[in-house]
Amino acid sequence: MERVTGARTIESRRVPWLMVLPALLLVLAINIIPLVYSTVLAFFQWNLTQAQVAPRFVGLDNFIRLLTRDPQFLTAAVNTAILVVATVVIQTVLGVAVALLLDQKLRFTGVATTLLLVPLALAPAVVGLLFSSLLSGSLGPINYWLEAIGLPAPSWLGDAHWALPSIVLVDTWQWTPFMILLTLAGLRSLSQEPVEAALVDGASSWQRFRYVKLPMLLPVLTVAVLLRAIDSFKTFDLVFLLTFGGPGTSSTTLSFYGYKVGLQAFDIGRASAIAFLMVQVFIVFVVIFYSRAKDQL
Amino acid sequence: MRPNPVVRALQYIGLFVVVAVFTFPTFWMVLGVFKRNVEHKARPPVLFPQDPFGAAADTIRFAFESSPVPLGHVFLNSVVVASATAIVTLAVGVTAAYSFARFRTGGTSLPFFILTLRMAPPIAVGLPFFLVFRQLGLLDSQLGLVVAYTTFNLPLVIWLLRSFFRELDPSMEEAALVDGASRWQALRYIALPLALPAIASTGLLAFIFSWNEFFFATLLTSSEGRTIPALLPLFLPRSISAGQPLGASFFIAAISAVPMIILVLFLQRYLIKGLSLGAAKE
Amino acid sequence: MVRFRVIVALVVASVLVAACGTSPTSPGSSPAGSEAPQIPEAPQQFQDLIAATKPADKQYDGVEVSVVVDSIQSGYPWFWLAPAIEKAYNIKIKVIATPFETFYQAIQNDIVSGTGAYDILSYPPRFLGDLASAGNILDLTDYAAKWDPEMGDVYPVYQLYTQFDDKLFALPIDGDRLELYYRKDLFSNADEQAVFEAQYGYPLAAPETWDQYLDVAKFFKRDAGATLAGETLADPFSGIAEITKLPDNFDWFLNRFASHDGIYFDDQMHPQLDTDAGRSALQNFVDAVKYGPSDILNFEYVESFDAFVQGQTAMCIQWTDVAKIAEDPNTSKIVGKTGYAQVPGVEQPDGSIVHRSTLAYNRVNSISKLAKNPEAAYRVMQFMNQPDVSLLYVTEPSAGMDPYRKSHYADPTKWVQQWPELSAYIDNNKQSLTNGYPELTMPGANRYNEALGTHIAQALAGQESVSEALKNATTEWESITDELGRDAQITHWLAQLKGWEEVGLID
Repeated sequence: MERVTGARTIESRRVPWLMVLPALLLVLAINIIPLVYSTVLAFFQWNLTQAQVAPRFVGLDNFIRLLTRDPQFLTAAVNTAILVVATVVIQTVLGVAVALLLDQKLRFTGVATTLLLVPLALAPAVVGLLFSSLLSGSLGPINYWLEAIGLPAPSWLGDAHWALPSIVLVDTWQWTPFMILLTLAGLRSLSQEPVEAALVDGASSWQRFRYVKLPMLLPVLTVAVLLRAIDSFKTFDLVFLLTFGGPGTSSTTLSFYGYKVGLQAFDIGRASAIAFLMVQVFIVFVVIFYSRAKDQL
Repeated sequence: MRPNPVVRALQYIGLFVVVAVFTFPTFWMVLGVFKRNVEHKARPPVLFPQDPFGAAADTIRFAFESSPVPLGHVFLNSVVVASATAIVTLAVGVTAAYSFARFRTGGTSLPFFILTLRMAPPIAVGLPFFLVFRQLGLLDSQLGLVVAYTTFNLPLVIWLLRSFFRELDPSMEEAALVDGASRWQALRYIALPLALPAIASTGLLAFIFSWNEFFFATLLTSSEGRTIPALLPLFLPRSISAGQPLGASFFIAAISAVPMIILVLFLQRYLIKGLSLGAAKE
Repeated sequence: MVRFRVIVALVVASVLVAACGTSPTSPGSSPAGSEAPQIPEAPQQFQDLIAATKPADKQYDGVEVSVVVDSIQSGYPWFWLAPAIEKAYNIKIKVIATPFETFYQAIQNDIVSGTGAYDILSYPPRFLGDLASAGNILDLTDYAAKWDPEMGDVYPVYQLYTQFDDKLFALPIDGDRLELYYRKDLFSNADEQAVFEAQYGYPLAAPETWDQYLDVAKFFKRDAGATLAGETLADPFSGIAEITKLPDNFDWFLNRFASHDGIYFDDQMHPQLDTDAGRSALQNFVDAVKYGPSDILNFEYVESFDAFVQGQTAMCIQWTDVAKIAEDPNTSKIVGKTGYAQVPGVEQPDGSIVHRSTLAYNRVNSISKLAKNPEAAYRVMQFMNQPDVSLLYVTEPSAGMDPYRKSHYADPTKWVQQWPELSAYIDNNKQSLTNGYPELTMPGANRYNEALGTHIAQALAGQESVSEALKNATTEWESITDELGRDAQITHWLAQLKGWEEVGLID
């Protein structure tokens, strides 16, 4: 579509860059420079509450302390890893399953897909606020109903074993609709010929899904999985509102820990070191994302 | 081929369960505004409040008048900040997206690089913002939040509009260029009108993402500049003390959520396209 | 098609909402008695005070003074008395409520960044050392000489919470202690008494020691369907409710730690946490939460008193204001059933029992160094601090403030909230004061609190053993001390100790 025509070559070479320039300058000023600044700060010791003490260069001290002498950081890293894997796996499986159901040409699927958009409209912070009462033993209906049908009713937010799963659960509530609707859109845009050919060959519905539809869906699913993984890696709002990282540190994520170190203890250097390490992981995600997604987007 | 009726029935049950699970919490949120404290704590859970409008009136009176929280001002801040972010990102993003789409400016890697900035961990940008804003006096201001929200909305706007412009047939613009129009004129008079629905939808997405943002709102505001998300922790059930209506917790959630739900219902699938950075086929 | 779906969705949504709004009598609806408005309103006495307020000697031309508070609740005194302040001084009050968990951050952010959105800071004294030593709040000595804050009437320990380096940096607004609340009706039930005595070999009563506390807590922990005082329980019932979460779980550890004769540091600022006192204290805390409600590890202030006043626990260790909440029929299901006692203690070789009640979180007010009109801010604080004004908000149930002046207890008939057991409550209050154990107010106090509180929460959650938690907290305390400068911290600590000795809190 982008053939270079005669008309284009006449144009000033400057126009394309002029059109991009404001955006580039803005991105440089508000995205790139802060990231660089943050990286620099990771090598300093600086506590903001002590105005009289100037920032002091400490080399790798912040990193060494995080990686060798800070069990809370390691807990946060492990929690974050669990959160990423659990949310992505659960949401993908559920999302694909429900999308297949919605693709069955049932009635009301139109209304259903519209209603599925609603969780996506809510701020994660609002979702956190809402579930902090839904999951509460005294205010929420969930435990009452679980007990009514004879299931155990855990103390979702008050038990160190359940706090992180609760965050997974709530995140899953909010974001599974994204996976459903994205997969559904993918299913509907599939070419029907291979599916019908498989049908003629007598493939079961599982085989049709596994060997025909799934491979065709894979590219768009990969993008979705990576996007969810990156988002999940940054989880902050839900932790803040649901558990504030507790009980103990059982639901503290890296973002939340960075926030606590940087803005409750005002240890700017160590918080920047956490941010720096997070950015490194993030870059890995981005590299994978680029190699997988560049044809999809 | 006609499906087995038992399977069909199970499928409908499945559909109902899915819809119920994903809509119930939102329904519960709205319902909560209409309940009194005894009903919030009652067992079994109350689905039909006794005096819904009286309870809602009390809750709203509490939120707007009888508590030391300037809710009206905060709501207005949210509107201003989200609108301004949408306008700024569109103003800067449209030409860039057009350039990326039509001229492949910077190849594929430059726009992709910009896109990745949308996804960077907020803490990495948030701390420097806090430190720089305190020098510039931008903390607790609407402008400060607009700047912060531009960091993650501008990359998205550029990316989505770029893909839209790429799908737009260039032949009309080329015809105009042949007739002596400048590239700027081609953009202004031909591409832009055609792109208007996409631009509006993209702007609404930026509006929604800014409206819903919590981290920067908590980090960068303290009083006058606060938006609704910054107030949410004040209204956690665990922060609502004896004698205060628990409905306020649901009310603040609802005034944050309901406008966004309405916007999203009008945006429909475009939301998925935006959230998936264009991977979803519309 | 798209529009059709939108309409259907909206119709479905509105029908759902309408359905819940138009069924006045249906099964599952709540018990009656919810007619009273559920919004805290200023009691009549506040209106009377506003009406009686006269313009003061000096006027301030309508300047605005902002006050930052840690919750909606603690904004009420300011919010309700704002009209009186405007009448007296022509000063407008703006109350800024910020979330409890991030309150320290909010105050520090505002000052560190130079924003200056908060003129008056209304905060717990654990922030005082940080704020005063960094020069972030103003010395009030000169103002106090001009407009007397009547500090002589303030209990000595609460005076201490307003001073740093022997200078006045704050005026009090709140006086907290921790008390043991228990259900008189259950403890005096003959059946329960008989069973308890048979099981434990001593009579059922408000526990005197921490070991007895565990016995009683265990005794009252019952599943749904069990019997309690002759009635079958529809819901599980628990022995205790305590605060287990940051930022305050620290104070619930301190009750125990201090009664075991624990002390924060030695005179070289080496932490004394990983000691017999520390281990006994934390072990008791860990054991106790087993007898709490299932979500006790998610309990901060509201959840823990709510469990008690909703009739779900037999005992509750809580701040002083909870008695008022428990006697307020709008909020409590146990009106008239609360007994008051000292928090449990430790038996000494001579048979006496040492009780220590943590004196923590009692808010004080300071003026930010960035305040635009410090004198106006002082006048506001001083107005709030007057004996007759403060009497109103420390004796009503909604604001969560507690008596801190001797005169507050002088005439119980003047209390805004009245209940039959008021004088028993006051007696218990006064005793808790003499048993008081202070919170740190030196620089770094909040960081020490956070560090220890995090490990307490981890121990309670079973993530760390008792001794691991105390060892790790010790390590963190040492590094905080080194970071802040050990010599300076030693000086502050010794000054802190001297102050506590002078008012008789420690020997």
